[in-house]
Amino acid sequence: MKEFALFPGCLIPERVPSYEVSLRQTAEKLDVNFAEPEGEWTCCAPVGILSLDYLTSLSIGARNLAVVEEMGLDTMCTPCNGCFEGLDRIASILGKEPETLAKVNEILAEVDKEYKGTVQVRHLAEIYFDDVGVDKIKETMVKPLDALQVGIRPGCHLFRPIEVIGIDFSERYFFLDDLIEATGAESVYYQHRLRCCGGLLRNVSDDLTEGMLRERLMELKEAEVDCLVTVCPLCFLQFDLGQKLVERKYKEKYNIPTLTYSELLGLGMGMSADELGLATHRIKLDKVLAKIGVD
Amino acid sequence: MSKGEIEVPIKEPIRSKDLDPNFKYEIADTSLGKNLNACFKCGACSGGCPVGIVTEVYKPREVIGKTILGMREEVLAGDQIWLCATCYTCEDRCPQKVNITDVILTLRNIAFREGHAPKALIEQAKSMIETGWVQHPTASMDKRREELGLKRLPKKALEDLQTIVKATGFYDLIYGKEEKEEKT
Repeated sequence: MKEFALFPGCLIPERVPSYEVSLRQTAEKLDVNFAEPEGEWTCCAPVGILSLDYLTSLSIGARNLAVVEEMGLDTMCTPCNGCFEGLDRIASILGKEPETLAKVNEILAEVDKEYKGTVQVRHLAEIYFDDVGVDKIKETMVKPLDALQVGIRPGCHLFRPIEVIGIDFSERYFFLDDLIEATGAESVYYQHRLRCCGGLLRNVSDDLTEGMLRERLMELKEAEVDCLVTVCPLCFLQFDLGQKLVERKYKEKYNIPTLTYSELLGLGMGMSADELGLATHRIKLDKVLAKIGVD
Repeated sequence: MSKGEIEVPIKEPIRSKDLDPNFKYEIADTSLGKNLNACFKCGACSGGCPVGIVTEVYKPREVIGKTILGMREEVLAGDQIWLCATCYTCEDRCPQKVNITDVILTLRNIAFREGHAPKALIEQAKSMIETGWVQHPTASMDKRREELGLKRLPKKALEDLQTIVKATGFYDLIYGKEEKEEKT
């Protein structure tokens, strides 16, 4: 398989390190080749920065894309929905607006960089589905996860905005179900599984973000799943840490364990909870691990 | 309720003298806000909004409607534009293909230049400018990452990022604003 420039972002390294451990640990078995530049990445300048200044967001994003070109690669892979939305959008804008690209390159000239507009940005989940494929994932599974019933959360920016992603409608069939089923686990359909968790409103209005998250938690609880599986680090934080805050605020109990898809893969490949760094989760995974017989 | 009547709160009428008729063109002339004027105010955006479901305070149609009407000051100085969760569901469902979320991002850009932005986003920008990342590294996580066999977040290119934010004028907007606030 070709080489991808891996852009982990900051939220995964700083807040969800087990996601990073698991994606690195599982990549080799899936023949996914990641290349990384020596210290050259910066922040992707995500939607919070775009909200304040469009040109700044474009320029910082484009600098990271220029690094991919310098590495001699044409595809960046990011496991973070925030980085994916930001950088995919920037690559898309700069790919079709030569005047904007010229303006951004004037800024980049100050740091001796130039972005030629050749990079494609892809989410890790897309690479699991399109490049690795369901069959290959099935081959690497040594630990049956058949006992698990999971609810998925792709996170909004894996499939929206549709204009940038290049699809007609975001609420149709979703490939994350196939990725789950490839591990043997069952993906349980439940109400509003594609609806926003409010993660990006954290610190802007905690009442609002927790009100939205609470609705999502209620729906998951009704679905009686063993755990939630997501590919978005912000969803992960909402459901792992934010869930505790909702429980305290509303005096309710949900206790829904959350895993990232890479962690689920690692478990299916027979890796231990320690190897995958799962002790960093706040909602205990004991019940899930017991159900699939992992220490 | 003495007469058995239903209590209804009455809104102040909107007067045309308070409106800026060019506001909608100001937005429609930007790269992200270009389809704004295709809106026929059907309300599909508000109907599917996950924020609007849990609060009455935010409805995308209201923001778009006020913008088209020209309620410049109310839109830019108000809280509503900052309450969008940017999930893009409204854009997906809009029958007129209005880039609703992107219009809101454009409104935020203008509001920020006019001195309005939530503290959380300013703090995020400062973290990015000072450490290279919106989610800044901490000593405790550095230690944990080492235990997990992971490298620290890179900061080699921080100087590049700082040069870029100075070149775009963003640095002055973030820090200049603070100095002005301190003076008042």
